[in-house]
Amino acid sequence: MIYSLHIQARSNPAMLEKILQTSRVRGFTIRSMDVKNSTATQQLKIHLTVESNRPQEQLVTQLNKLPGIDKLTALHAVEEAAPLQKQHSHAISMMYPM
Amino acid sequence: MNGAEYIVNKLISEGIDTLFGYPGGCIMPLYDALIESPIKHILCRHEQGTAFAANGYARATGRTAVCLATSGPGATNLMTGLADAYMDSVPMVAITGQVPTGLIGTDAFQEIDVLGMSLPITKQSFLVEHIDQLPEILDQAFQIAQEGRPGPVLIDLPKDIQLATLSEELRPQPTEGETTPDSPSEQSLSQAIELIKASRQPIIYAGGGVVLGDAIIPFRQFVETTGIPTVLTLKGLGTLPGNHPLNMGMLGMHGSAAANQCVQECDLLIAVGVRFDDRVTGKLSKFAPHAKVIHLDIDPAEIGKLRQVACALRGDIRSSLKALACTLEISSWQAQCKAAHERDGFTLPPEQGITGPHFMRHLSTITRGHAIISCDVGQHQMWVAQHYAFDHPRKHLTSGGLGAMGFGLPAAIGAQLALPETAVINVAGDGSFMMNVQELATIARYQLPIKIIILDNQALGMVRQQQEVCYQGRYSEIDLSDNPDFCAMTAAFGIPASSISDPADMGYAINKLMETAGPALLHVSIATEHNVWPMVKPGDANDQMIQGARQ
Ligand SMILES: Cc1ncc(C[n+]2csc(CCOP(=O)(O)OP(=O)(O)O)c2C)c(N)n1
Ligand SMILES: [Mg+2]
Repeated sequence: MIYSLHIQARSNPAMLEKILQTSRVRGFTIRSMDVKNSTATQQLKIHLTVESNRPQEQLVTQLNKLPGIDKLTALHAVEEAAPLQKQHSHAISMMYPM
Repeated sequence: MNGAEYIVNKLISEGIDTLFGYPGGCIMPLYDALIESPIKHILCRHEQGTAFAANGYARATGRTAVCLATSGPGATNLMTGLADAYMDSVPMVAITGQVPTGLIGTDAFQEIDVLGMSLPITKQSFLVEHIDQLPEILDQAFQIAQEGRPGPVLIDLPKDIQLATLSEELRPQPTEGETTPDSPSEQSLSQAIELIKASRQPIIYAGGGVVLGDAIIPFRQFVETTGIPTVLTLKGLGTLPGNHPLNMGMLGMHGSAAANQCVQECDLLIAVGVRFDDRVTGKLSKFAPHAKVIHLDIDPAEIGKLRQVACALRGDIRSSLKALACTLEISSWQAQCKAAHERDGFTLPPEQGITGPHFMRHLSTITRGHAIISCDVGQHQMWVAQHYAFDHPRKHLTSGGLGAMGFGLPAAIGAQLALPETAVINVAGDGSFMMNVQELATIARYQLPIKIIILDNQALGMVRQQQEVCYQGRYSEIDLSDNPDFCAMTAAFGIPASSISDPADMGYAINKLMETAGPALLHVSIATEHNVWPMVKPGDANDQMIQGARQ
């Protein structure tokens, strides 16, 4: 599925990295990203489109708890994409560490 | 006042009486300011030791602990301790020196992007870019470390900021106490009560979140009022006392067969402060297959992360548990669980010689479950979990989420400094002990009365066991038969040490160890071949437990 999110966040060092990293680690591939950094308000405005086999909720709840995220709007699934290639899709039940 | 002095004042105002650290170039201004301060600084002998010591301090008390390191290698050495705190939700603030702001990005001596490196293993990381940001960043750091689900916070602090003068004379204030956490809605609470009342075979599955939510007493009241049989995770041990009649024991990979059976058969799983870790659930799709789930947690991201829930109770566990208490008529289910517990609870192995389980039972009896046990990682850690009857989760310091060997010895240092009157015991494996063995020097220097027990099986036993069970006994790099003479080595640090290998000596040796006034070590020889039973193989379902040679 492809999802779309609007994020308003405080502009501090590494905020953007943290958002990118959270998306990657939680299994969401970034399709597009549009960022405006306003020095006047010290705010980042981000429009993010991500793709994943996992429910959008899994990314939204993780992003929502990052300190510095002021507002997060999750839009409906943009489109139902063809399933991702095997190597991109971590079905949760497949992951077993040693 | 300069930045370094401000930090020291802020630490004092936060009630920090003990710091764990290691100095170096880029943190020197802060070390200079510490000379006149009343804060006790503990010099560990490796930054990983400082991070684990602070971690142990915070785990034993629930209070935020602080560690310091210099830039570059000092900061990189801290990371394992921060990752451990992140995975087990331990409140910590780490302050690292950084090269002066003008040199950041020039590959200066001992410059590493510590902010970037720490992002995935902290709750929040800060880089102080201007002295005027310092007060607010410090306030936020302490707030974030302890509020909601606790965790580690890192502040990367360039050297020039430590020396810069604050534009106003500010007096640091302690962080505002607890913000009142959200409580679940009335509607979801009454939905949960309906589910509980309709259930015939409910189980409570409780973890580390109970003590983190300061909910031990409401939790015990909830268990007793409802009479619901309870299983505990590794981090939940002690949440109900080990011998409590409704305590069905630890569940999961090395849990008891009884605990796993109860969960597999239940029709309602009340999950309290847990996160459905794969070590607990085994094959997720087969975990508690007939159960509806009620999940209580302060962290919304944990609810529904791995298992769909019938009812989500996001927010303060204390108030939720109080609201859920009701009486139930489930006596035949209670009897069924009790029978399983008596039949398939943890038992002592038949092997000759000292075994881990026998030793832990002795230790538990002699210390009456009151000591703080700080474990390392491996088979010995599981034997502690299975056979030591903890009376409170803050007595059990164990690296649960990260599973970091080398945790136990430095964590014991932190706990002993926080609670000087409490007996603190590090139960180490021969492999794990060597990972932070330098901290013997710290124990000797501060004469901390820590008792160290090495369960020496001359092997990386847990890896050996998995190679035996999952890799047809093809052993690869697990042999430690050339271990050093642990007693001679410990004696070289000025710490008395003795060794046993005969089961008849166990009781005497443990009593003797506990009676020693200062630090002391007991080396216990056990057989390499002993394994931890029962066991669920990684990826198997929890009803496919294997019992080893015993059956
Ligand atoms: C830092 C670290 N490296 C590697 C591992 C993988 N590992 C898990 S248990 C274990 C063996 C531990 O050996 P020991 O401390 O002697 O304990 P035993 O299992 O023998 O009781 C290893 C290597 C780990 N958990 N942590
Ligand atoms: Mg060993």
